[in-house]
Amino acid sequence: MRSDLGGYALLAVYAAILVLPVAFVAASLYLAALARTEPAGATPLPPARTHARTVTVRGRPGRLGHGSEAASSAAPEVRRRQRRLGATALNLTYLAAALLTAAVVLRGLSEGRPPNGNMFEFSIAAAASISLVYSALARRRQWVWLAAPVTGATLLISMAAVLLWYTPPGRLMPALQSYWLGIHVSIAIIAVGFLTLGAALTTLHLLNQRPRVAAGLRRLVPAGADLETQAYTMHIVGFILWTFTLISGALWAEKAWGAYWQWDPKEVSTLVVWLIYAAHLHARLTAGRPTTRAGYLALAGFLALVLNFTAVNLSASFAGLHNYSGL
Amino acid sequence: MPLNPSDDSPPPDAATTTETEAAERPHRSAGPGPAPDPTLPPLGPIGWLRWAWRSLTTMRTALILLLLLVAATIPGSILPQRTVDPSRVLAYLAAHPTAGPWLDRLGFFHLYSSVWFSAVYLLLMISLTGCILPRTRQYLRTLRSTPPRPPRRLDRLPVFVQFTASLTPAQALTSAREALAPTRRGRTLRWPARAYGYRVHAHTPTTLSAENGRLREAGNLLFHISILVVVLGVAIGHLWQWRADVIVPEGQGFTTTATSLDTLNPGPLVDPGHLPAFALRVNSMAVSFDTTPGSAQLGQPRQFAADVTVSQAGTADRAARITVNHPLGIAGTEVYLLGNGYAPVITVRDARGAILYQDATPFLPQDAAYTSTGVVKVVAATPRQIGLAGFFLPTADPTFSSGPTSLFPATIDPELILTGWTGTLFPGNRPQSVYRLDTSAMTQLTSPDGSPAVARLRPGETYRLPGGLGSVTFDRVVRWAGLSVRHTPAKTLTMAAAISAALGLILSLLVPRRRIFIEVTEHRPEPEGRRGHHGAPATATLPGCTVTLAATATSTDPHLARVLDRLHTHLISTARPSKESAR
Repeated sequence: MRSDLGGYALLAVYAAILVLPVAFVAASLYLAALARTEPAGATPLPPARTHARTVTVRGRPGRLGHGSEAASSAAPEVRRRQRRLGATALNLTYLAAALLTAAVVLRGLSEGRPPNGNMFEFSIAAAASISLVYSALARRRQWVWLAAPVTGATLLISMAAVLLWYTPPGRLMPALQSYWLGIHVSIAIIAVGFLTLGAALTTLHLLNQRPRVAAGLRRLVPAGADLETQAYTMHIVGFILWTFTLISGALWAEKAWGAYWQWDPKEVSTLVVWLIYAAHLHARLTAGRPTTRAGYLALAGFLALVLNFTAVNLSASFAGLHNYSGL
Repeated sequence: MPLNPSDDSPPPDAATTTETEAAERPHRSAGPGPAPDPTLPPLGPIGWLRWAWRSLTTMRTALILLLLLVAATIPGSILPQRTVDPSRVLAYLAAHPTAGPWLDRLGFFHLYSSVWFSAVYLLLMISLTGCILPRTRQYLRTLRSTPPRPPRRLDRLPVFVQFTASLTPAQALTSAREALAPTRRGRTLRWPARAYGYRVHAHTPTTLSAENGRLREAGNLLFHISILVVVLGVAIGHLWQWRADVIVPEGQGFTTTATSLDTLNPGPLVDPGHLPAFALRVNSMAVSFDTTPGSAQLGQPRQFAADVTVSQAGTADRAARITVNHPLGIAGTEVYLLGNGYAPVITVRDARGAILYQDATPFLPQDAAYTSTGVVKVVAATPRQIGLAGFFLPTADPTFSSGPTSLFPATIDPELILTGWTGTLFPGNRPQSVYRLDTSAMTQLTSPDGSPAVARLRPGETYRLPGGLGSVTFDRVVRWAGLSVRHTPAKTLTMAAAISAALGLILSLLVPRRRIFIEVTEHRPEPEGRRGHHGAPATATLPGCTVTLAATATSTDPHLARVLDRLHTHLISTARPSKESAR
């Protein structure tokens, strides 16, 4: 075990905690700059790939989102400043994602095992997952406007990790010394990344349903961006990964505890998250089009997910078989 | 993933219901005035059953049942459950004397086997079955069907392109058909339009209908059917499973008979007399703890392993090692190492030195440092039986400031602390726990000054019991292994069903289901001055047509526009060579 690498991992987390507020401020300034211009839609960054040039998209607005270039009536100077702010925010978020990933990798190297054994490691990995998934998809999907909530959430998680849950790198109890640890917990944490982004997009979609808020949001969100469809894409990936979390957890439980399902509080909580997102997917199709009720169900699922990672891990009233992995 | 009413066909029985209603409706009066309310036919019992069945199998009911299942599941993780931790249930009942028994009566402490929880998920499964069967029938029909006719107004579809190309209609249609359903290997269209097996059909000479993504519905059905199989596998597993736990000190063993096992929990359909026969002997245990001084992990367990020998009739004895996460498979069962502790070897002699009791006595650990409690029942002592109860401390706290506590889980400084009782060990021959002493018919041994006689022994030491009753010797300490033998049938079925459910889920969510319609209209050559779209004067020899592409998707599909763009680009590039030759 290399404790010096553990120290570097903590340093990387601190560095990310220094970078994230700057990214957050830049992203907020970008949104503020957009809000001051005419409400004709955000100036998109030069897209990495061009979408269809000649295809005419018909249909109800917002139903099949397609990033058409909205002409902003702002002066070129203003647009350049907006673009620079947006690029700054995005690059700083990339940097924070890289730092958090480095922290996870270094922590794993310092312990000689996947860093999935306690609350500190869970939360660092979750923060890394959220910022990584966002960074991978931001450019293609013109998600600069989403940088503020993402950096804010990542910052909160990282600070909680360092202030509340820090523990030095250590070895695992025998029950956790299994290759399943890397599989089961990693899949869960990657799913957290996608489901968090889905929750952020769903929140904005629900806000967009209110006319007064929508008028303000129109300046910030690229015109034609179909928030609900983007949230759906995030949710289906997260849901598939969560299904694998359940299955891999059951396979591991069978090896470690003798039964693949024992209604342990953490198992129940994972199932509850899965059921709520399943209800969300069903509700999305019941009325023939996605409804606000479906959106609220997605947010309920995200709340259950947060409780799964915090309350169930930490609260003694949820004592069960999973509790040694809490702190 | 979710099952929704198909876009293609109307719900079954709608036509017949409307007909029935129409036949029964009274004729409107010819004059002005409000028409009387139509009288609907009364529903007989069959009608009510059909209504109930139809309501149960709608998507809305499934949604309600899913959320009900969530609501029903949550109390099980908040309130203690008997299957997870029975002692916490007892503590809860003691702490809540009024609410506790009511919760117990309503089944909240064995929630997942209670009637109402079972009702919720059974209803959900019935709803699911009632939805799957018609949809499977529908799906099998669509497997043989052709893509539908293009709609009359193509520009009403979500994605729509109209352009002119210098191709004959036949060339355009052939090129499109070649792109969507290539006859030779290799992709002609780039992602996301790459053919997922488009079926192409020409209903009229100037149109083409293409449809793909039948795998999506197949995945959907596979997912839901697999869920049913998972539930079935869990049910089979519950009915025929059995579990047995036994505490085995090093050097001893057990056999799979009810008398040799400590606890045996057979499932409802298991005959405890017919368990697979084998014997297992624990030779030694390897347990290690973290000894890094000053580390936060000091005292954390590092390794649990039991070296065992397995005996079965007809085969030679074999040695094996059981560790956490690596159970041992024997005769269709799995033996898990789930616990460990210390068993001090205690010898009790009578006044003349004859051995009344000598055994490795398992003591149960109470905390992370393995402060263990245990009991010695010397049944052979006469005229009054002797019982000893106390603590075993692997690393005794020398100060004794907070009573007998152990400081570290490894045997660095083992100490045995016992008090003695004499009397009747089994008053009324009532059954009692091996690890608890019933002192209701016993008196405590006291030292000469009246305080309870306490023996504090290190390995090898002997304590003389007061009153000339004999002596207690702490010989040495061995470990015990907590083994659990489990037989869970249908495990493989459940696992396979779960994995196929995951695969079905992936297909049902990620495979796009698209319909593309192509319509070509030939250009009528104008008498004069008409220009073709590349600027050269149109001549009768230049082919030209207007191509209309339209696409729709039956589910949320963010890439639909790009698919059509790819097809458009492909058709333009097909036209280009003929443009060159025309020049």
